Amino acid sequence: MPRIPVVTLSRYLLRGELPHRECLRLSRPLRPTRRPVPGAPSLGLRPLHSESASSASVPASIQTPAHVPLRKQMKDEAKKAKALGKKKKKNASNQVIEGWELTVGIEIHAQLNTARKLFSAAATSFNDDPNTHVAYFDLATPGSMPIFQRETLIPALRAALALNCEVQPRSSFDRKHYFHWDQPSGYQITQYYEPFARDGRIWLQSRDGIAAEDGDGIPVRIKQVQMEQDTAKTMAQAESTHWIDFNRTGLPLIEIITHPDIHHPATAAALVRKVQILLNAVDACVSGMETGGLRADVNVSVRRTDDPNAPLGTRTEIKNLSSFKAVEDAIIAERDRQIAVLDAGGVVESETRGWSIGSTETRRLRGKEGEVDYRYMPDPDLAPLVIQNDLVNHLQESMGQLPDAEVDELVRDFGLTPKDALSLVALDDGRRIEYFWNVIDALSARLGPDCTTRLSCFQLAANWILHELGRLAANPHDDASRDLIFTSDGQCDRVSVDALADILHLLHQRKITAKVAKELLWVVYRGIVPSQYDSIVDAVETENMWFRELSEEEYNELADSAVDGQDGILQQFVNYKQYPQGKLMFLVGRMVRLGPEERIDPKNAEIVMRQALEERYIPALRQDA
Amino acid sequence: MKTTTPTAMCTQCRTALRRRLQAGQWRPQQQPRRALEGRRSVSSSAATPDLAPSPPSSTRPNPRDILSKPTWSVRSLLAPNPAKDAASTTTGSPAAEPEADSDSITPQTLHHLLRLSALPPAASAAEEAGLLATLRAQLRFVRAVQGVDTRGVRPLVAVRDETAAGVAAEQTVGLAALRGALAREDIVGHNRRPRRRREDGAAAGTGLARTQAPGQGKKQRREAVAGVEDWDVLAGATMTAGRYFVVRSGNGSGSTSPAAKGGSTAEAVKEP
Repeated sequence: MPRIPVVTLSRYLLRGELPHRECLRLSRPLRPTRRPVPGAPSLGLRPLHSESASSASVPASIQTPAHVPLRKQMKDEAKKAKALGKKKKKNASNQVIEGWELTVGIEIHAQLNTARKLFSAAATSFNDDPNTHVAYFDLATPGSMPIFQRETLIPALRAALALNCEVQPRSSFDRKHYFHWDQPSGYQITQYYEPFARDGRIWLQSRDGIAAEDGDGIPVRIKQVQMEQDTAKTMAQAESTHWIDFNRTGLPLIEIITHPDIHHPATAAALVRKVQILLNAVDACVSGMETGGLRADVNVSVRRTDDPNAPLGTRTEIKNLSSFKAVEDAIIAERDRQIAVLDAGGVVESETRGWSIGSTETRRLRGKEGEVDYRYMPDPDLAPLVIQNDLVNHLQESMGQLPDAEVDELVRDFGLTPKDALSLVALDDGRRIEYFWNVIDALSARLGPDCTTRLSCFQLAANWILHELGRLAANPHDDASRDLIFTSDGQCDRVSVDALADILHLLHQRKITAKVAKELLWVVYRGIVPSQYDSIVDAVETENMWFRELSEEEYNELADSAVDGQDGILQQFVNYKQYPQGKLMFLVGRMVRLGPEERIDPKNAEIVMRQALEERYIPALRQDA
Repeated sequence: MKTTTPTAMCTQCRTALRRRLQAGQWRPQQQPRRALEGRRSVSSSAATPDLAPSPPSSTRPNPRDILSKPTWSVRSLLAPNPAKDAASTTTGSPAAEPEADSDSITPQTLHHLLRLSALPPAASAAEEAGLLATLRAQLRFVRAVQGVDTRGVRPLVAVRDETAAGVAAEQTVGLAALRGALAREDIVGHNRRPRRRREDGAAAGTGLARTQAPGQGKKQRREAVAGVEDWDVLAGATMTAGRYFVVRSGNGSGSTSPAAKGGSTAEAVKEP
């Protein structure tokens, strides 16, 4: 753009004068610059939403219509398209494809939490030195026999009971034959013909993260739960070399097989997540998907929705999914692939496929011709297992409160939202909720038995433990680098249960303001309370931080002074379509600024101001008008 | 299974016995079709009267009585004496004989079988006759066993004590058996959930116990379980690398290469 002389520019900007020395039809078109010239008051560039009455908008004649900024252009086009109805509806949900029904069945393998392996007395381990916990039978040494370790039944039965299964009084073990270097004996001992538990059910609710299309919740039936052996750990080293660690051989696993009741990918991921939480809660499986303690295989098939009686389509199996997101992504990718194949007129083959994180399509691992004949046979070395009812009943009674019941209790008794309740239960591996219960106990003791406002106090506690404590540890300015650590019985070193209960109790009684309370929390976190002050009350006393609220007359005086000179705003309260809450809060803010801030409770100030407006100021205005 | 009197019979034998008793009165001569039954024992003593107390007055057959006298012997099926063979055909079940006649072992078949088994041919005619007779008798026995009606009888998986007492002793797991393991648990938390006490000293936590990814963190070292883990696990390996077994997949076979115990190899652990 050619340089415009500063004189010309200043004259135009400050006085609106066009240069007239040249012909009006300028060879170089003179356009008003959009950038504000430094130092000059931007007459034409004042923000358009300013309230000032003396705003001088740029005269329309100076605006050249030739240049329309790109953003405006796109907005106009979008508006036009929308008006014409041509705008593509954004398909935010990839859970359903029109015209097709997805059916998913899941098989979950989980490592049981036991001291010994399943058929040998070697110890279970996670990360020990390789090949240090291997018995003769684990290496299939000739002459070795399996010896069923009965203690492995405890977590297995607990898992089955948590999934509401019926425990079979009699179950037996079978051999599943296939050759692989991580299976020294050439067969895996499993329970193919007679599993130890059948016919269970999990209830998935909307708070568990299922697809929105599944509504409030769906039940997913469990077909069976069976015990089986784990294989050895393989580490691929060079091209074709593998290092084998047999510590993991023979570790007890349970396989949970569901019926194909799932129809959306997000629900499948939610099911796996919920099973992990459930198994962890009953101490059956304490390592999750991230550490390899839980693995999921999914079976996916699609069919058209136009015929409800059509049989289910051919299913493919996706193996070795190792995270919840992988489960969902793999199901979506496989569903899309199968639909593409069927749309193109092809046939979906029944095969085994794999998924790697970050890929867009499943890849084929093994086709039908590579299917192994497992030659299942009852294992003659192992006697059938007969489980007595007294054991099952004892385990059922001593399971404790399950996660669903816990969250329901929090929602029902404390009025927490499901989301908050789930967060509270999941934070710090379940230690924060223990801390919460301890604080509740401490508060109950302080409140006394006949307090009517317990619920609001407890809700305050829940809010603080969820959000305020997190803020403490997140602050980077803290000099001490210790984190906020909770113990498994719900104690905390830095913010003790009693200290927090004291603060919350004072806050609930409105003896201190929220701001002061947060300061006190900070002080406790820093360790200043036990070191410099004896207790919370002591600290408040010493620093004179009690909340001495203004009296009613003082509030009214303050309201008067705040309203002074704000006639323009008061006018807005005279005739209004909708109560101008924003203006009210502005006035309240003025009150707080003018008055002693630490003595004002904003809620009460708002009430007083509202009342004052109704009773005094507006009628006064009306009389004047 | 509930029984009023303790008995040493398993369910299968009971069913078989009951069926046999219901089929008719116990008459050794009248048993059709079954090769096992009705054979008079060759070696049994002279008196072989009707075995079952057939008078209608006894409502419950006494198993002890029934089992006290043998009804047949293996030798009845293995009769090497051709005369006895012929004699037994008149009294025995007709069903077994035609089978023996139709595919009896001819000398040619015998030679063929001996060649297939890489056994030396018969040295003399007498030896050959002896081999033939033995083989025929053995086949008769096998066919007799195969002819038993096994409808409704569960296939035998292993020979076990399947009586009520045996099942209770060996196969049943009840609360009493697991009291020890259940005592090694703590009840933790507001939810009163049981948690197994771990031997490696980790406290019974309320949440996910293993939060480290494999390969990180200090490797634990624990005492080997006496009598179970205290043997040289790697002794039989042809190839090892440190404390790992080494397997070569693909065409390069490592099974014939000599044992190569590596030194302290860096165990870069990558989960496959």
